Amino acid sequence: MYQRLIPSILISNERLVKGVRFDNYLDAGKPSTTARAHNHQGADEIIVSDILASRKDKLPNFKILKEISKEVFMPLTFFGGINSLNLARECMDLGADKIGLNSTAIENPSLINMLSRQFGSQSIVIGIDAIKIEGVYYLYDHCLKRPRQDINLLKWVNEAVSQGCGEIRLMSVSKEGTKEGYDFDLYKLVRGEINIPIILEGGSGTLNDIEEAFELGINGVAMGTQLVFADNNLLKIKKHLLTKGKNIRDK
Amino acid sequence: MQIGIIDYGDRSTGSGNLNSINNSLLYIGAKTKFLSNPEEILKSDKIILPGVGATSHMMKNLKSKNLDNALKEAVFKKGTPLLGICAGMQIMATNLTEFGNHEGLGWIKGNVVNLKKNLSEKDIIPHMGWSEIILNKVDNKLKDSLKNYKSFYFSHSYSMLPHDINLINSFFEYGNKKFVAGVSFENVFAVQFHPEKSQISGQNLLKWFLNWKP
Repeated sequence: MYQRLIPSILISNERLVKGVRFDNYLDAGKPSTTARAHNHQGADEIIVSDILASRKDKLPNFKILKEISKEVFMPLTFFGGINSLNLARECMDLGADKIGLNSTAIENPSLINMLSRQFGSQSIVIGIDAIKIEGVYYLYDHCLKRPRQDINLLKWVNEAVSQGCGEIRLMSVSKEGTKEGYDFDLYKLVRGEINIPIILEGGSGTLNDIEEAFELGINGVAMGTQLVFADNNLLKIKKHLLTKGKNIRDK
Repeated sequence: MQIGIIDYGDRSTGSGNLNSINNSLLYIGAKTKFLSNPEEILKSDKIILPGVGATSHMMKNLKSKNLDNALKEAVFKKGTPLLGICAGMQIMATNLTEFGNHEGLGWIKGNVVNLKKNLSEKDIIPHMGWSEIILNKVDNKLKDSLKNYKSFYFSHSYSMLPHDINLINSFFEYGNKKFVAGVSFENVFAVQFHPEKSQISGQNLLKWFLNWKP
């Protein structure tokens, strides 16, 4: 099986945005146009996160989800404050193939179990945001904008898996948007605990960062800033990885 | 010609996958229709049997509206070409084991079992992502249309094991083992992967199905 290249796009008020360490968001264009480009450049799948829905306790932006899903012929994972079976079903009806849960699952872990029983575990992705403070990783709460001291990161990862999630999207908050490179220590820490696919995200800035991730055998790497505010695109990244003989889908 | 997509009528699992298949077919220029009763099934020129939710639910839904008998009549009496996708392929088997043992449509003698059974502890399940398929027995037209594009998107934890290995149209490799990527007989072609999520390779396969004259 090939390792996956996954563009990750953030939505806020119908616009594509990108920030640094979950803050200072800048407008980066129209989501469906960007998604279409990613599809044509051979992205292996796409992650769409409605950051307003989860932070402001609003409904996800259904219109944008529908627009994007019409443009892409690849799996689409949707994050956006999904806190119920009905909301998950609505998102799937509009074209999400996988439901991403983050803070709503922390608040209510049994939501994972309920959704995975209904849609199959392969359709449930748990978003883990981790922040490193003085060498220790903590679970980061993007609603409260601070680390959670009350929940152990690895304990939560194990809990999510035992509740039936099929994939982990592992985000390094400390690296997000910085283009400093992925946090491989974080990846290894979590990989040692579970045997479901892990998508690593946060910090990718150069072709070498992605190459290094592939060398570690990571199931999938997600990237945002690199595709939005850098001069890289998926064609260039794929070409680089192919030249280096990496396990990437050519066509 | 119109391509009919089986609508299990079960809104509890959502209709996302039906819409994705519909979107892909429209994209390649097909005319489509959702089929939700036996009459529509028997009138359809070609049929797509998608996978929606767990196989036990799918079987229950088909039986409750007598769609299983209509499908059987369309496939075996009328010779309607049918494409099964993902769990839509799995339910063609005689024995299904997802959430307990239960019967499938019984079109293909064999079992559907968890991938775990044939993999080691360290292998990652579900098998989720793009895998290249190895063609076994397919017609030349399909061979041509998949010539340069053989990678498809898979997302599953269960796998079909037909008794008759001659029914296997393609394989994929995972954890150094070979698994069934598709099965076919006469006017039925079925795949474990998702052509509707597989960009150009998927569109090529769907185009082939549109023109297929078994």
